[in-house]
Amino acid sequence: MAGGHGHGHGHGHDGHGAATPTPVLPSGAFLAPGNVELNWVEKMYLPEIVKGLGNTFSHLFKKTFTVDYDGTHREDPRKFHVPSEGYRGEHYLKKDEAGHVKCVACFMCAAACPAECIHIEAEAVPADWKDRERYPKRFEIDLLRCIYCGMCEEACPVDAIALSTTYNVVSETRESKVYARERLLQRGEELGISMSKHQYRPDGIPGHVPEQKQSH
Amino acid sequence: MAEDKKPDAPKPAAPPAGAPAPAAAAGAPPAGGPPKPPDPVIKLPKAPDGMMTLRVNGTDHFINPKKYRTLIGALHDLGYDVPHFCYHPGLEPDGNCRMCYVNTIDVMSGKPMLGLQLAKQPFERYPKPTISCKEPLNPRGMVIETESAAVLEARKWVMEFLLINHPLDCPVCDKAGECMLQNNSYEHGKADSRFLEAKNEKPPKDLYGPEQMLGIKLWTDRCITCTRCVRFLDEVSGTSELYVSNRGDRSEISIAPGHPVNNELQGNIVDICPVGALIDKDLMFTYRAWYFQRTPSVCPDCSKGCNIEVHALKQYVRRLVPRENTDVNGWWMCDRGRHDFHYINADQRIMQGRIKDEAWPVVSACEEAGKKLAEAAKGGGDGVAALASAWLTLEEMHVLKTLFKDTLKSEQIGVLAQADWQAAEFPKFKIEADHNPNRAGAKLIFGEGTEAKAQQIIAAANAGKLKALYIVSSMPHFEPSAELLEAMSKVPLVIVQDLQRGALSQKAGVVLPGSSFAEKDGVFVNKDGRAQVLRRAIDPLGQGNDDLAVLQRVAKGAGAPDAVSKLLSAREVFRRMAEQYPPLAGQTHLTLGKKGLAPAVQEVK
Repeated sequence: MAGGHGHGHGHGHDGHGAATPTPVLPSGAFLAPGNVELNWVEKMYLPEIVKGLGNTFSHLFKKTFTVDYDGTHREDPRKFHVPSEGYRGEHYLKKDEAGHVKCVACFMCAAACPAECIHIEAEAVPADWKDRERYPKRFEIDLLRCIYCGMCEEACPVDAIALSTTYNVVSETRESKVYARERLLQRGEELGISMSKHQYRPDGIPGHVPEQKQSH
Repeated sequence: MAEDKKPDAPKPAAPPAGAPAPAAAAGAPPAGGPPKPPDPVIKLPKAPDGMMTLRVNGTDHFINPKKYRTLIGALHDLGYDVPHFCYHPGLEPDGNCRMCYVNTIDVMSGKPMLGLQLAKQPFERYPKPTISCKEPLNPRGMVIETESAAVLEARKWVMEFLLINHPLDCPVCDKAGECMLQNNSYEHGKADSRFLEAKNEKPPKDLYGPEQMLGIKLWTDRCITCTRCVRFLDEVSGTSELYVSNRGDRSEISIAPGHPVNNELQGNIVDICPVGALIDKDLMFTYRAWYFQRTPSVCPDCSKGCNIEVHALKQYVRRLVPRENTDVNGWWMCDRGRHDFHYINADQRIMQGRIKDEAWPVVSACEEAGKKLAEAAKGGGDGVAALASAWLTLEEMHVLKTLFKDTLKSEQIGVLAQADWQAAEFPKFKIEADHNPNRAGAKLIFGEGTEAKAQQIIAAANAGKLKALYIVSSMPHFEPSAELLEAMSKVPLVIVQDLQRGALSQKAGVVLPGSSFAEKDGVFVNKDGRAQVLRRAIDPLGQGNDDLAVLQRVAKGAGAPDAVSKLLSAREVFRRMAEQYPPLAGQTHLTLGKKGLAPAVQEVK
């Protein structure tokens, strides 16, 4: 407790510890829990400082835990931290077998997002996409707002968005931290994990469209 | 509800298990007279005249049986949650979804009836849970259970049947979030399905013709065949384009080739569809229902004054849907009003005040306009004139009137109005010919003959007698007459307050931003003299100033007293002005409420 004493009473209470089991403190002053009365050697401070510095210097000769991170030496574990598998880093978007973005613009990720950092504009698919009706015309993630909670990945019904282990998310401008659809797709390709595992039907037929039924 | 009184004495009748009907031992009926009916086990308290006793889950209610067509309406009014799909208060009950099951208790034995002595008893009795949407009210009294085990069980199985062929595509369905099937499945259904067979998939259909700009798309696989749309088109619009074809789980809503759904009420079938089977082509795929901010408002497109809800997203008006008001529009609105909101966020909107010959928008254009008006009025008030419009709210008209009569000492106030459009009449709905929301209100504020007065003002301007003309239009579809445009060029100072850049604003010396109905609070009076409250759904685009604020700032520039020129909210202006207009006396926005009152009926008519 720094600065515990005021101007009126500051000097009165030390030194009474042995005589009175419960020292009567002047009003406004108190002993923090765990405070101990110092003996005269400790009160000189100098031996204690030497002890503390000794502890500090002893670490110079121990093994280091930290990584000398500069983001360039990917192969050297001492220069590049490799996060564990479940680490939640930068987002990426996945693709389907036809190479289209897998997202169906259902807004579930945006609804689940506690930071409201996902902005989607949906649209009807181009005529040659047979497997679904809507896709995101615009898909943006504002990584400045994102808190990397991974709720979007959990909410996605078609396994279209996921969080990679990329933690190196620095940049020089604010604009470059708003990731558009193409950049998110490209990121997945770079990482080689861009294929969605979701299939629309349990029998695995993508793009199944019911045929026109004959009505008698 | 007024008649929703709970009598003190009655308690939930505990049916004495196995007790013989006491009536059986009541003795022989008096000879000669009709046989005396046995006494019932459940004794319902006697209702006042014209009312009946309805005991629901052990609580007695006195209701007026003539007020409700069937039981479910009474139950909903009493606040009981009876789930339903095909029932709609505005349509004839059909009873095909079977979701609104309730138990009807036999008053004689106090038990759910088993069907043995069906015809012998004076009270109707039922062997099974019954659907409350087709159940007529028995004026002699009824005992209903809405939450008994049998009812809950029955609803659960109905939900399971309804979901057998319904696809699991809620994430890509536009109805998700406002879907009755979702809600009822969550409240009353089961989490999982036991149905393992392939679902019966039907092809989607376009209900619109090739030439139709607006139209509706039908996802037949999502449909639960409640036939609300079919009944709406039969009963309300009277056009009968849709029908049900095939049978059983293959039944689907169909359309005759070459006869698309094309009428001016078609948007309503999208609203009343309990699932996402019918989707408006205009908005398809572009929205999620839960993001909308929903503001109760009033449709400004005709003098009927349909109650609507404005759905806005991020300061953009995205959708208008009808709001229930059985005194005005029922549950419906027409497509003309429904799709007439694109001018609100249009590019041509006037957002800033401008003064002629100034290169840049003028922040204080309103005050400048007021100063110029006051200067022009110095040589005699009748040198300045105002043309209000029938699209302004009562509050705005009042401020304009006070400014001109009291401060500028001018009696020259006329009212412009949009030309009539074509009226349309359907079996249960009418679109009025008057394309203005507040003509009756203008009559209330300015008095009779204001539209003739507008013609006189225009004539006076053409004759060069006016020094200043203040046009407060804010009409989205106003087409100024040639005389008005000519007159504008002959007046030295023309101030125009309007929504969009156009013929009016081009001829103006000062242009002020107007605001649409979605941006302002205020009161419209419809053709029946019903005063209804608008609420602000999005922020005013004119730098935060709606029409009322612009008028108040103009009044400030003209040197009007605080009572007019202070920037008060519409609610406060209305409270202060109500005493001056006898039909509105004692009213505030709060007393008008969400559905409006009809205080002005007699005086206006």
